[in-house]
Amino acid sequence: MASPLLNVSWDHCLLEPAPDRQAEAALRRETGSAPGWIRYFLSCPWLPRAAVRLSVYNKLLLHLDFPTLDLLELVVSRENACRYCYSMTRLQLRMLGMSEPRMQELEQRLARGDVEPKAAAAVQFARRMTRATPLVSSQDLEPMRAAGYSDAEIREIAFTVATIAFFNRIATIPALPPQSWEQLADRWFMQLLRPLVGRVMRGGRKRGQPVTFPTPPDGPFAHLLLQFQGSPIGPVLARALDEMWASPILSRHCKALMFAVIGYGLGCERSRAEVAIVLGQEGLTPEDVEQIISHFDGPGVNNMESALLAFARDTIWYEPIQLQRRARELRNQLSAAQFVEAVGVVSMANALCRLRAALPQQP
Amino acid sequence: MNAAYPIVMLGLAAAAALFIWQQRRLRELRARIEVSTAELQRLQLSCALLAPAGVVERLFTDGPESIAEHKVFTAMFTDLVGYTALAEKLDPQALAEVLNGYFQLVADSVTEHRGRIGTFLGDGILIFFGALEPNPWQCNDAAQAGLAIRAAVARYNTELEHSGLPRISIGVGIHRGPGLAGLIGSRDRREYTVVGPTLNMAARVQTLTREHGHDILLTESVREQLDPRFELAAMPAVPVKGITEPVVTYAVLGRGDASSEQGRERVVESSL
Repeated sequence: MASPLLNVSWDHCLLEPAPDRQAEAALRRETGSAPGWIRYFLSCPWLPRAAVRLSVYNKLLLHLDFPTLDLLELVVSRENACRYCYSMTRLQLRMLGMSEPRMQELEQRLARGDVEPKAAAAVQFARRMTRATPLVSSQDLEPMRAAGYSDAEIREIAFTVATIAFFNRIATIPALPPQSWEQLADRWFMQLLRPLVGRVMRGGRKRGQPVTFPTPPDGPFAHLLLQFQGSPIGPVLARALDEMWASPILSRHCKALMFAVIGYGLGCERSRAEVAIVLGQEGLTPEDVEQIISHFDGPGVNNMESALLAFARDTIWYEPIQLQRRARELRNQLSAAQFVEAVGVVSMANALCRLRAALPQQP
Repeated sequence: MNAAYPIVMLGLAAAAALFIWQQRRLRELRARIEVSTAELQRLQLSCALLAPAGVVERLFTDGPESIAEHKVFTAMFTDLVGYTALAEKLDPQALAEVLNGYFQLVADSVTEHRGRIGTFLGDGILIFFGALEPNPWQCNDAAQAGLAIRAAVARYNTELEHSGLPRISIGVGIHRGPGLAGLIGSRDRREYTVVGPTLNMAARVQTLTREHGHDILLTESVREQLDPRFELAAMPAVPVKGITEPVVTYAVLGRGDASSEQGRERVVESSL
């Protein structure tokens, strides 16, 4: 029985892969990997860098075990109906030695909620945080505490869910082609190479080391970043955010408004307050911001920004095929770099607003 | 020794038969579980189309009684004007075709603008915006859906004329207010819907479309949340059955791209 998700309607890819050997080599030197899919995003340099650095398997986690991560990746990708990420996770598990019948059994158990109680608490939280109907709050963390997770593990679970939500959107919005992943596991050469690939993959799953921020974070989401003090997550996330704000492809004003729209749609007052500082620096009054996020129009908003804000709203809750149709309309109005940056910004905003709501404590 | 041999063989054969039977039984049970799980997955996916995912989850874990939430949402009521006359004029098959086309165009227009069909009531359709998931843009979505329905009806009328069928016209009423969202119905059959005076008001406003001569009307509670680029015409306050105060409504004329300040000024006094 194939997973129903593997039949979700999926558009043709909206982006052309554009190899850049220099950029790929630089990324490989820095992070140790430059996966093929980054070629779709190289026109907006911060996004592939952020995506590779934010991989939870790559020296980011100190506490959470990898089997729980795999489970969360399956659950969140399924909730977001991301056929690309779901297929990739399935393939990873197959390569790590899980047979197709065992894979299907796991999917069935997840559908029935039949997993051991500790994992069930994490799965339940991951589903709620992903759906955000309503947004999760600190109260939603209690069942995980009761199930035996430490606060540090809970922060890593919330970060993992947010990161997967980020990856799901950067794959779903431009409709990255999932077919190759879906078919790869059953190819004869992959079956032959499986032990080797599995060994390489296991070797690539590395735990992080405690680190401190090179400089204390400030600006939007600084409170959130400080909750990851001592964890490799904090500096990596801070760097991704800094590079996103500094990128000149879309204006800082536009990016902050896209964050504000997503915070408003999700009902996350904390996220709106985070970007209010940026918007104030950009010369917008709270009344201007209220008008703009309510109607995607207002003082200083041009037609392109208006379209981007309306699109940002579409990325909060969606059916993949509808979102991809709207993304195609937007793609026709923008350059490739602008479109890719827009995909990155809305994906980051959806991830961070959900994470901000899940981890509301002040430092 | 020789006498025990057949007994041992018989015991071994019985054990082997039992083992084979158990294996077969196990395979059957696994297959049944797989089929049940597949059905459950399909059911969960289907339920997700009818109610928010959180509601479906609570339905599975806590039962239907647990699901009831107070929400502020926007209700739209659409109705086919002159349905009775149309039903008398057309044979049942032609009527069903016309109705199906109308239902489909409303459903498409509404879905495109993030609305959910609540109930089909004869030729009327009850639609919700912001009832299933949070939606701070629900009033804009409802008004935009109203305009999309108007455009779709115009296109549909061209088709109907080509097929020698009578044209249709619609009335749309939109109102925003509180309601209780939950699983409502009998013990045997329930549906996820919203109840409360907001729905009645939307239905009443829809009936005013004939009186005011405009196909899309909305109330003050919608107008105050609406994008200023919508062009509205204020209608005179009129008494409505079941409502103590006369009801002020606004006809939706269209949506311009002018700046918001100019847009606000587009609320004009009705000549009616």
